[in-house]
Amino acid sequence: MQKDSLSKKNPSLCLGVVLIVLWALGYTGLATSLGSLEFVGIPLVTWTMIAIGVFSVIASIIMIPIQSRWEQRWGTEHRNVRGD
Amino acid sequence: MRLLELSIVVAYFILCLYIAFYFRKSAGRGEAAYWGADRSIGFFVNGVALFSTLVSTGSFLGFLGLAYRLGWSLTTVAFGVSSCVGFIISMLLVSGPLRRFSEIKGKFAMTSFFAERYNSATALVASILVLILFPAYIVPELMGAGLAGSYMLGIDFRYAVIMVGGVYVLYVLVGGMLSVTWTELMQGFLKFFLMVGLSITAIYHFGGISPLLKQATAVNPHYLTLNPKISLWTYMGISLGVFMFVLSSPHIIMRLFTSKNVNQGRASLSLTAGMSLVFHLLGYLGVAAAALIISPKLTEVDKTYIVVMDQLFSPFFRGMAMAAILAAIMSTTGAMLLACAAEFSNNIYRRYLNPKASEAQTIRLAKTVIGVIGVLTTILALFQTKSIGVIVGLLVEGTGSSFAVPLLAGIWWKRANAVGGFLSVTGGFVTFVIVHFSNVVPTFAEILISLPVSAACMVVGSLLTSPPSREKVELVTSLHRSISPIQPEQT
Repeated sequence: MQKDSLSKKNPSLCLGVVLIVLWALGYTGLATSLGSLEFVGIPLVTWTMIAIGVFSVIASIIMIPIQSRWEQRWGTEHRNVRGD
Repeated sequence: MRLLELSIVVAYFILCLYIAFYFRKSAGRGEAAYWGADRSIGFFVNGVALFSTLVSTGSFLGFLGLAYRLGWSLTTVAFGVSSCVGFIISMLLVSGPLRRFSEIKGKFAMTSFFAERYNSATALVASILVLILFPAYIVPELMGAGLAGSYMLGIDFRYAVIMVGGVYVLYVLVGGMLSVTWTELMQGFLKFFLMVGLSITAIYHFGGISPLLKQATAVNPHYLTLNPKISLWTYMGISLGVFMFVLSSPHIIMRLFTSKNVNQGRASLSLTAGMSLVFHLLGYLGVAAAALIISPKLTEVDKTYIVVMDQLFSPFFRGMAMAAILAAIMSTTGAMLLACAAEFSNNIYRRYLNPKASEAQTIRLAKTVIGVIGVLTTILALFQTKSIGVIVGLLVEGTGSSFAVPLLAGIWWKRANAVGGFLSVTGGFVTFVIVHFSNVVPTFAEILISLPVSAACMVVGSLLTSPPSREKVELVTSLHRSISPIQPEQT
């Protein structure tokens, strides 16, 4: 039954959750004293958000073949669990 | 009247129509061709087309105006990064399962997923919302055409609106998704290079990035910093709205159905995210700063791009930039018009009015819908006066409030059922409207309340009623199972 779980070690879901958490954490910077810190005249919060954007694009490209393999493996395991 | 610029714009219109008539025959092969481009679009074309779908007049004129007035940090965080991360989350959590859904069920509209996953009532409400929100979105877009045409080409506001309205309706009507995709490829390139190109031109013109930003911050001290006049809730609300809109707007979802396969669809979203990030960060940085120096007391901030390109570009590039502005208008409106037609013909006409309708009948009706909505929105645009950025921003948030939760829950939560789906769509939208008109939170912060309400409706509605049927659960499972056989390892 465990193998039936969509979320079990699903790489896309893991990265998706990490990105959403990072993105939300970036906004907490706005509400704290971090919001007033600057680097070369631009707030650290803005730099942080830009870094999250760049990271998400790079990570997503790396994720394409990894997710594809997970789905193939999960699909096979799921058919076995159901006895197809 | 500026003849060279006008000639380039006319050439752009002719090219759009040529593409539409080139694909006329292919689009007429059936619904898979008309709505889904026969699932034949590779990652590069789809990626640029998706970018083009996102960058509307809102991005090209309206939000750039907000960068001029409220600061670059706001637009970078709210539009650049949020749209980028939204596309990546769509790539990770939505695109693969929905692409498989389209192949398994032969459907090409987001609300068809709601119909299969939840029930037809949920799909009907979602379709009605699309038919209300999208035409309301198209109106300010066309208004942008009037603004740009009258200012840059010296032609009457009304003629510019009618001209753009006529061309975009025609190419959507004739060529369907194939025509929309290939015109969007051209439009995407135009918009990307003419925004980023104008920014680089501005940086060069003012002696480098430091002198440019120094002069800009002398005019607006909050250009680079977080603007203290803007509520924290507004920052977060706009960002969340853009994020959810990118993730769940039906006209963007429709594009996911056109990709050749799941991996190409995912790669296209990574490309789109990268383009969106560069466009909003680098593009806005130079252009809005240059506008502050060139025209420090600009009251119609929607003209920020026009003011800068008018000053810094040669006549040839002014004509190209004008075509890019019109491309921004036509790409989004075209995709939205097609989505409206798909919703009405597939989820209202075929489901309720004529269940036995053939493919040819459905497409004929869709073309009528395209014509009617196109004409109505063009007429309404002639009388529109509000700021483009504000209207588009609110519609973006309304769309995200209604569709994001039921879409994600439908794909990832097997326990989500029809009651939860229905309550989530209606609860999210109704809450958004109530919060907006009661003024309990600052403008653009409405989604901070409506989205959690939509999620709560989904959870409570699903858990308090019986679980979905075995068929629905099996549908969810099939969305995550690779259809293609396992490739042998390369040695």
